[in-house]
Formats: sequence, C-alpha cells, structure tokens
Amino acid sequence: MNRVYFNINSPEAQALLSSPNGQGTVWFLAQHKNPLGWKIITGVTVFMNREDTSWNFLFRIANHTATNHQQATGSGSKRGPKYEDAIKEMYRLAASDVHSSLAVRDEPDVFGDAIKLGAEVLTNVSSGSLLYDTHHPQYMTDEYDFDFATNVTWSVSESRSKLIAQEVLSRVASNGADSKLSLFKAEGMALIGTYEGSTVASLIASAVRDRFISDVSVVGGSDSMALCFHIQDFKASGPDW
Amino acid sequence: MASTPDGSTGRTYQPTAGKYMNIYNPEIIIAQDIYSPDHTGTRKTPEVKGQDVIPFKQWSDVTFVIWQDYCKNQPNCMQGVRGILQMSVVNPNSKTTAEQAMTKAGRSSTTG
Repeated sequence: MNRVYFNINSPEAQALLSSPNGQGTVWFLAQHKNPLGWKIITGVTVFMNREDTSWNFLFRIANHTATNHQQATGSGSKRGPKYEDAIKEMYRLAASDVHSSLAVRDEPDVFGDAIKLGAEVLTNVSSGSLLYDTHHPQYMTDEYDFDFATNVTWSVSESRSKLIAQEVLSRVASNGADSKLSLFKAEGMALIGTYEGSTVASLIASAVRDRFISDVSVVGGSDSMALCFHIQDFKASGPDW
Repeated sequence: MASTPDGSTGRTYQPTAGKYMNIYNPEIIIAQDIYSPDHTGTRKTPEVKGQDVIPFKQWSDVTFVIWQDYCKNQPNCMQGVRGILQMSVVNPNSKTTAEQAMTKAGRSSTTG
C-alpha cells in the first residue's frame, strides 16, 4: 500500500501534523492568518516515491468555516438542524465574501447588479426569508428537471439571464477558468443573481435541507444556453471550496 | 543559506548550508528539498548553532515571504492555497511517523 489518505480526525493525521514537516506546514498557515485567510488542514495523504522509496506528505488545506469547524469538532456529525445551519452559514459567507470583494472590482452594470442580487438571494435564503412552498403547482412544471442528488439544469430564456450567462461564458473562455463556477467567485454569484439562479437556490433550501449548491456552470452556446446548478449532499461531500 | 546580514539586528550570520527549495504554483506549494539552518549548522566546522544561527530561519517564514512575492498582482492567490506537499521527506522523525501511520493503515485497512 503506497498511498493513504488520513482524515484530520484520525490519530495518524494528527501524528503527521506533529512531525517536523507537519509543524512547518501548520506554522506557515497559523502565523500568516491575516494574509492567507483562516485555513484548516482537512487531511494528509502519504505516498511513496517509486524510485527512492521516500515519503511524500500532501497536507490538504481548506478555508475555515462554521461548517468544517462543526465537522472537526463533531458537533455537526448528524443530519438535521446543524446541517441546515452550516449550509446557511456557507451561503452567508459566500455572499459576504463576494460582496466585500465587489468594492475593488469594476464590473459592467448588468453583471455587477447580478452579483449583488446573487449575494442578496443567498443572504435571504440563509436568513430563511426567501423560502418557497415547494408543493405549490407553480414549481411542478417541466421547465426544469430536478434531480436533487446531482444537479438542476434549467434552460435560459429570460433576456437578462442570457446576457449574464453570455458574459460568464466569455469570461470562462478568455481566462480559461474552470467551467464549474463556485459561489465564492463573482461569476458563480452572478448566476445565482439570475431569475433561474435565485429560484433554484430558494427551492433547494426550501425542499432539501441538507443539500446545497456548490457550483454553477453554463452549458451550451449563444443560441441555446442552460444553467446547471451542481447540488452536493453536505454529509457525503462536505465543503470543497 | 549563505552568510546573511539580518536587517533587524545588523549582525552578519555565518553560513549554515541550510536550504529551502520550494516550487510555487497556484493553489499548491511543493517543498521539494528542505534542510533547516538549525540542522545543517551543526554539521559545519566549527558548528553554527543556537544564537549564531540567523533568526529568520524557519521554513514557514521563508516560504511565506516568497509566496507573498509569487502572489503579488494575482488576486486571490495568497488565500488560494489548497495544499502543501512535503516531498521526499528526509527528517527521521517525520519518516518514522509516516512509516507508523502507514503500517497502522495497512493493518486496519483504512485506505482512502
């Protein structure tokens, strides 16, 4: 066995953290919390070089959030209100994160407004003021295909949504960014700020309480576009951003 | 590390042959070949140790300064670190810990 991942809750991972190489990594993160942001180590992968049989340690790093703090301390280890709280907190963080970085950005009007709206939607979803009655017939149409396990795909028809989706597509093409856009990125947040995005975000929060939207992608081209909202099961995946 | 004047004390420290060879990439820092001045200083003749080793000597501090420089003009780069890879670990304590962890994983089959 030449490659093993140790979750940070395991004694092995904690022992590796306390090794001289682990300590350097911890110091690096802990002593520069302001410029680096508050980070946590989620686990360690140990693997062996074939040539010289020496060991490599890959320390995996994530942003500290209420979510993974709960995971680490075990306080959120069961489904239920804790998960809801954690997801709300994640949405709230995404909203405030993108919102605060807006000050230094110079976004075109429609796009900038969409980002603000997206942040507002997530803030409202997380405060519980934007939840739907999902049994209402209005939401039981063929317009979108709900597969809560993986994703929600919705073809874009509204002209404002089209503009935003096109802007996102051109950005993805020009900077080679991942086509899956995190809510912590302006592009992902702008897509939440579309009619489709705000509806799906509210629906997920209303109907499936331990799942959350992790990323959004734009599928298709200028003629026919769809937004694909990637849904993650909180317990199965945990946060990955 | 070569003999280096330390800005804070004005003192020039003796070389220790310590070195930190890192590879900087977006999201990951790879520590490829690292020997701390505290360790290598003791192999010098005469030994360089204790207060005679330059205070700015920790991997974490040296790496941070270069990471900061690497990330300048790149928005979200500094905060974007998602992994630190310590490659070809040579420290005996780290090696022993890894071997014990891997042996234990083998016994309990907690592969990931």
